Amino acid sequence: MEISFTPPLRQGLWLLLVALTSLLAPPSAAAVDLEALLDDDFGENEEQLVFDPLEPVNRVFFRFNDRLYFWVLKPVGKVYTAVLADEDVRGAISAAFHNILAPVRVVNNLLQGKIRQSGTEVARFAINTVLGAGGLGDPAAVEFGLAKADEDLGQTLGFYGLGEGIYLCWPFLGPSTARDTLGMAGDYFLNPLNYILVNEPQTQAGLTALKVENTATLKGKEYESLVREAFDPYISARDIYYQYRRNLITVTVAAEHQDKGSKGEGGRPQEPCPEFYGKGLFHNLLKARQYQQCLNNMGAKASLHRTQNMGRALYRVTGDTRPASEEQVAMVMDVEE
Amino acid sequence: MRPNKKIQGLQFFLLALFLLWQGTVAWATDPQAAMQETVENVLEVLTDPALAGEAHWQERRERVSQEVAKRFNFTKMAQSALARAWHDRSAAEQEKFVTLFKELLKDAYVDRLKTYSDGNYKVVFDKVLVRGTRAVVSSLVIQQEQKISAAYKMYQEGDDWFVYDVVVEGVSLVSNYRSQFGNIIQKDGYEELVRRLEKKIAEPRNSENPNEELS
Repeated sequence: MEISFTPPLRQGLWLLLVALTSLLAPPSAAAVDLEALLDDDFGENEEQLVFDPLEPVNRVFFRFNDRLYFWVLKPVGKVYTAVLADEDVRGAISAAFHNILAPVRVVNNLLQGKIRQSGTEVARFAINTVLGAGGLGDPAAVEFGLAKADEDLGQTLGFYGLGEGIYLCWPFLGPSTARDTLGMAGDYFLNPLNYILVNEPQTQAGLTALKVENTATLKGKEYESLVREAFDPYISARDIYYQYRRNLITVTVAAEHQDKGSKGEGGRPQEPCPEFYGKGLFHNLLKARQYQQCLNNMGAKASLHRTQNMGRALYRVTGDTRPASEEQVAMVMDVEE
Repeated sequence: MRPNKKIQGLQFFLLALFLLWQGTVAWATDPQAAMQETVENVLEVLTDPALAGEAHWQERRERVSQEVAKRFNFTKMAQSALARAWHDRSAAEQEKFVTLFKELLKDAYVDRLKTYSDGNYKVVFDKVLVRGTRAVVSSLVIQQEQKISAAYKMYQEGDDWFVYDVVVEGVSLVSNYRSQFGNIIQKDGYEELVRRLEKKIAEPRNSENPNEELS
């Protein structure tokens, strides 16, 4: 959607906000953790990374959602897109729904120690609400280079090492895990609409329906090609959900790792990597990464594999582990817990 | 004592040759440059005005497939998609599987590139990571305000680099197939997987009811 301002107003606002935004603009972060992609070994050591004991029930709900899409959302979407033919208008509605959920992202960025990104969200909310007509446009990204990002409580919990738990496919809501469901419940309390419209359940239901329908018309094609290309759409969707969510969390952890790595650089001399007890098994991705880095610094080709134990994430670092002195092992155990 | 002019000239010549040789090798072994070349070639075919329009789509499709086949190693992709189950297959079975898998990918993805024929986008290569004979080349496909990240997992063979997986927004294509294939093999066996692959390839494209598997 095109939103224009009169030049003086635009300039004034620009001057007012440029200092602020230049402070807040995050360093361009890779959307994908490339380091993790290097560890691929043609699937040789890949393990079953999904814990889905409720598969029969989940499949029922997956099928329900599929029917909902093909029988309800898609036909209704034809009418909806006939009324709102302009894809930009539907994009604007989607942007407004994204904008109103800013508190969710601000809080979760803070919880993960991403102070800058949390500031960016505050600035984005302010700019897009005022200049973007309540969030219908995204002048924060277009004019100020403050990129849109997603953050939620499920990611925060994952960042702190909480495992995904069992896989869940909810009717209407789609793929999730026990952890992300807990996250959704928590984020509910940060959704302003749930306070503004607390006495208007009908409006709330209407807005939810609008959001679902709007999303369906914008993302429907992606879902259809998933179904068309998959051998088993349920498994494919489940895998995409896991891969996508894990990458979001890994990116945050990797950025944190880089931060700490650059601070510690040039400090201590290189020591032999201590052999971790439990053959390099970690619950904490950050720790696993540090260990891997340490081994690689020593010239050992270490790689990291994700595995899991009853829905709790585990990371195994394999490589040329060197024997460590008892003193070093003690030090490491100290760091671990 | 002044060194012989002829020997000096020869030394210079050898040095120049060495530098030149180093230069070309460095170019050939750069995974990002290799990937960039392939993407540029593909985009050139897609946006070629001489081949524009629906009538030439089959020809464009063929030429895009050729470009992709030069850079992508479908044997490695297929092996990776089967993971450990790959080793349980005979050489003939492996060969057949690779042929089917290649056909499947061609069907599913070359047609998707059609939307890029309008040239209304930009591809930017932003990062590259190399560790030994493995590399990850990351790029962004920018279309208006939308940015989609696409990373290529590559490995070195001889002097050149080849792609064995594509990762879009953190979702690996090969891993996604691996999860589905593993499930089918576990439940119904390898023969059933081959049957399903053949059925999928035989399916007409762009069918209105893509939903058979569910019903």
